[in-house]
Amino acid sequence: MSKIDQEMDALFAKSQTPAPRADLADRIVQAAQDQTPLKAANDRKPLVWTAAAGIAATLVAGVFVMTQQPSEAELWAAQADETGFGDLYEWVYSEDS
Amino acid sequence: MLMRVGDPDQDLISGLQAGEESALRTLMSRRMDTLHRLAYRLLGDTFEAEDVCQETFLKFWRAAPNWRTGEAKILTWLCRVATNDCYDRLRKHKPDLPGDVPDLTDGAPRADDRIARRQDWDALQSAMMALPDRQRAALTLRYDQDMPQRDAAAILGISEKAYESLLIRGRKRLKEMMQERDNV
Repeated sequence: MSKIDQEMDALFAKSQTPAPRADLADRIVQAAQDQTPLKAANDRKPLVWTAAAGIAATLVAGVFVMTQQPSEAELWAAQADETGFGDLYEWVYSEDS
Repeated sequence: MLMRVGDPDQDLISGLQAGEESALRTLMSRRMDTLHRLAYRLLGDTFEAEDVCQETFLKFWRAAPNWRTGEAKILTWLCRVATNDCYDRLRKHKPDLPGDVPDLTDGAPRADDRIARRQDWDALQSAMMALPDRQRAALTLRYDQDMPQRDAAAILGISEKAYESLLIRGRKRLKEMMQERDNV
């Protein structure tokens, strides 16, 4: 043990700290009787499940967004409608043509 | 792969998981003084240290049913929770340093408490309260609790190297302050 460690040990050994009041344990037991169990602080399962759920939700959202995108043909049709080519398209694809 | 750790309090786990009051009392009889001393060193207030003890044991009581044996020592967990609680309290209410003039304008009991508390501090505690929180925690874990370096680093949530560095700085500063005090 180094000299400074010895000095520190002596310093701390000499220092008095107050003790907790005698009824503290009783107060804690009393409070514990009203408590309900929680998840363990060192239980990593909830973290894993939370992470897995987050990844799954992201994937589902991604697929949903992808499927909601209009196709190229739909975009062209919409553009044509806006620019007045609707009638022309109708004429081209009608049975009479 | 997780390393299994031997825990001197492991014999209490089944009782705690079953909600047995006797197991909680035994755990408190073993660890209350350690936690209270740790919290007192960090906060400088015996009543607030009692609150920290109460909160910590209650948290463990609630967590015990799902405790994963072998992944951590109960004492390490308790000390970590207590230390974090102390840090939170210190952030909310920075304690007065020795020599500060307390706010007595409203005559509130809190101000009286602060004076009484400071009068109770001995030379070491007064010097400790002037150290940064983390250095104070490192010193008390090492010299009050005689905690193995690995456990102390785990409690503070830092590497063993960082813990050693905190210890070196804390020791140096504490020694200087104690010498200054002796020279006055």
